[in-house]
Amino acid sequence: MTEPSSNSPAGSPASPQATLSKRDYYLLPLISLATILFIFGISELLTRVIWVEHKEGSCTVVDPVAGDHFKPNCTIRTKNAEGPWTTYHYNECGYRSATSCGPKPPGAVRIAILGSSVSQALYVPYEQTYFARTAADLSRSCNHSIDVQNLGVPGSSPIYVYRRLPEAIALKPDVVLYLLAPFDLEQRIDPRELAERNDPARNETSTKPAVQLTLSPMKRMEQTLVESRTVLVAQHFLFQNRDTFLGMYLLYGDKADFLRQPFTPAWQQRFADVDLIIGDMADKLRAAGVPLVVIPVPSRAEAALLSSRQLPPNIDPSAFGHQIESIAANHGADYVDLMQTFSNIPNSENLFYVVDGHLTPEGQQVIAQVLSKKLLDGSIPAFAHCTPQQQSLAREH
Amino acid sequence: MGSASLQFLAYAFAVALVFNLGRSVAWRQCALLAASIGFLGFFSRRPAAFVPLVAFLLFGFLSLRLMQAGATRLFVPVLIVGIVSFVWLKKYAFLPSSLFLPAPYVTLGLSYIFFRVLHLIIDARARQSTLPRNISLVSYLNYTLNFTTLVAGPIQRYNQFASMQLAPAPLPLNIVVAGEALERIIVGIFKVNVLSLFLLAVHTSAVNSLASVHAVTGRVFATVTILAVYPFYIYCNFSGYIDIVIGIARFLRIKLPENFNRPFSSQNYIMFWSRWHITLSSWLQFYVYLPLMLKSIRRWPSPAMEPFLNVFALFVTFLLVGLWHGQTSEFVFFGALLGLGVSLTKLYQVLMIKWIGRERYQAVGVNWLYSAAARGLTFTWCALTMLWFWSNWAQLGFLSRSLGSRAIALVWICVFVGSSITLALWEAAREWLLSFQFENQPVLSSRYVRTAWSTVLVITSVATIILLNAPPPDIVYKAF
Repeated sequence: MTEPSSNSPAGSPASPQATLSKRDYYLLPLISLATILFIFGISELLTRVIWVEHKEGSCTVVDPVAGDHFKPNCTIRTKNAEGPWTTYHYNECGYRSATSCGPKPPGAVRIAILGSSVSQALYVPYEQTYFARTAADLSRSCNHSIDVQNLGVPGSSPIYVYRRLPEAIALKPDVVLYLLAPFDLEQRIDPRELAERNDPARNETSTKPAVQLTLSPMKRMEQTLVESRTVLVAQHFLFQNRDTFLGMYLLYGDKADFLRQPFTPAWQQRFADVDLIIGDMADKLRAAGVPLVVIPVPSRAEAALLSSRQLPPNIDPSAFGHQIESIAANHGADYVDLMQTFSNIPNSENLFYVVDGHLTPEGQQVIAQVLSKKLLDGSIPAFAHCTPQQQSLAREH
Repeated sequence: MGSASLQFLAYAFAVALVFNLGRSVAWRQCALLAASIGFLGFFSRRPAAFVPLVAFLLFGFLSLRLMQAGATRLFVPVLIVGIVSFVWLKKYAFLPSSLFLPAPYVTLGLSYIFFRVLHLIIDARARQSTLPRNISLVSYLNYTLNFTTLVAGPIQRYNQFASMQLAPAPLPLNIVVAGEALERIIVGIFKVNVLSLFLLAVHTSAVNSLASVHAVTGRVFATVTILAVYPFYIYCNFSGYIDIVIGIARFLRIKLPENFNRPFSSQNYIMFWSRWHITLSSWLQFYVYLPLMLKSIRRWPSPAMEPFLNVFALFVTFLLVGLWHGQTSEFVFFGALLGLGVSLTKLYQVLMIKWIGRERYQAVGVNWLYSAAARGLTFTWCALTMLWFWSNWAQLGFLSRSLGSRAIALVWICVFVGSSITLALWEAAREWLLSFQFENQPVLSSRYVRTAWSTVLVITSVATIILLNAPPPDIVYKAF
């Protein structure tokens, strides 16, 4: 503990070095910058050791045309800095499932899940995922095995999800679940792709390598900073404070506009695009005799707002969910209302990884409870025989 | 608004910006007054809550004017009214609570305003007063309410303040001064937001652990931690805040007096108090100790008595230091311990000089073992007195019962030996580091090293504020 009076003479009558030499105008900021870089390097090193992250996707087949999918019979172990080590096993069809994608076992009820990372339950060990928990609940309640085929692939936009619908129908499921979160709609769907969504030629898997984008040095530096572990750790602690997190999140423009009422034209267009896709999905599934359940999953920002007592003006955290529910209802699809559940949970933003934004195992449990309840409410024929007593038993579990 | 918060800094820098838009005295006066009133506004939105503070300030101004007008007959009554008003407004525990004002009101900074007002009244009454004849209301308010020194000092004398604030040409503010002021603020923020926060966490955890730890060794360790950490915590908290306000004031072209000067390097308790809360102890030395000594010597004019009168005057002065810190009986005891510490030190010095002579006594003082033990003893006494500063009788009773007399003795031995060794090592390390010189200056004090060091402190402070995600710790002396 040095005494500042001895070496910082702000309060002393005369400073021995009353002027700065010309070189100091360059040298002092450079020293400061070098110190910042040095500390940043050290902290990056330390945070990489403590907050381990391993995201190599060696099971992923990158396909810019038909959408990414997973290699059959592939197993990989990855880790998000904020979450536990997670093993992903993909079956012979490349689905995150514990069972085979072959013909449905006799007496089993099959659930096919479509969507992106939220559907796939990214960064959550299999047994803690919402679909594994739901399957266990349903199995207990209905006294028969539940076979879940999860076709979810991180980063899938609704158009890619739609392209995988024939695959899902081919599985002969008893119900199809489609989970989507606000960030699935962040990227506007290419209008041409949307218009050609039913063209079979578009669905063929590409054999061409993905186009490699070259980033400018500035962009590369920005990306390095954003992807640095130090920044992630700082954000992790910073965003644990709901007010800070919301304050910063609401600074986003278009990205956060799904929270603002009325919806901007850009978001109205996104919802119109999703309306077309869900409409087509519902039609095709209806033709195949398979019920569709659409599940709008709240983002961390929505959950934080749902738990807040006072909302900022023109902000409606339920708007996205209600819009998707309304689209589903218009096309005769079923939906699960998670907004009400999340608004009843104090600090429900804690059910998400703080920076990454995906649901934690605890968040998965909440989804599983609501989903089990929905599937057991009698609206899905495959579960209609499950009795109310069995439903309450499922809730207890 | 937290006293060391980023909001406070933002407010201060906004004020500094406006303040430096004009150079005239009138502009500087108006800007500072508006800033100080605005600062007070953060503490209550009810105008009625400021009535007692405003009344006290008006009383001070009228008393000043009365003294300057030559009404010295009223000096003693005015002084008594001032002291009684302060004691009443601060709700000292020995007064019946039925006498206190029932509605809540702002007393922020009242203790420091009290010192400034007393200084003005006493100096105005003096025959050879150096105070200007006509102190305007604006100058008076700027001096007493200056937002940089309102919360926890330092206590500046009026003439020193006026020589800068009322000077036709304001103090220079070039890039070097600004850089040094900024450096001071950074050091302060680091002390308050990082060091004091960490030390408080250690202290609180040790206090909490006492209830759950049953083994004697565990309790001894926890108590040693409690005793050893608190003085460092209060030092970082208070001196850090003083660093911040000294830096901020420099942007307002005011140099504030230093309040700390490496107090834990002190080899005796009198020296400690000349390096700790310097402006308070020098105020009391000037307005309590010296007048008391003069009166006593006049009353008992014997050279043989003089050293003992000195011991007595020191005791009274530091008893008042303790009383000023708080309104409860704990602070009376705290004051008594402070008084005992300085008076026993004085008595020891008097007796040692008498027995072995001044030269031999000075020679003993430079012996490294004696120095280390003296520093350790000073720290240990400081740690002991501070028990009555942060705790209450019930906590002290629990501490004493849970330890027992043998463990208590062991605790004090540990604190003494530990602090003697640690402080000696610190002094040696400091001396060694300062021995690296470049162009006859320690390398550590070079502008380049300080720039790198300040950058480290900024990053550490910002990271701590972000990572802990907690409100900034309050300044302990804000309560006084």
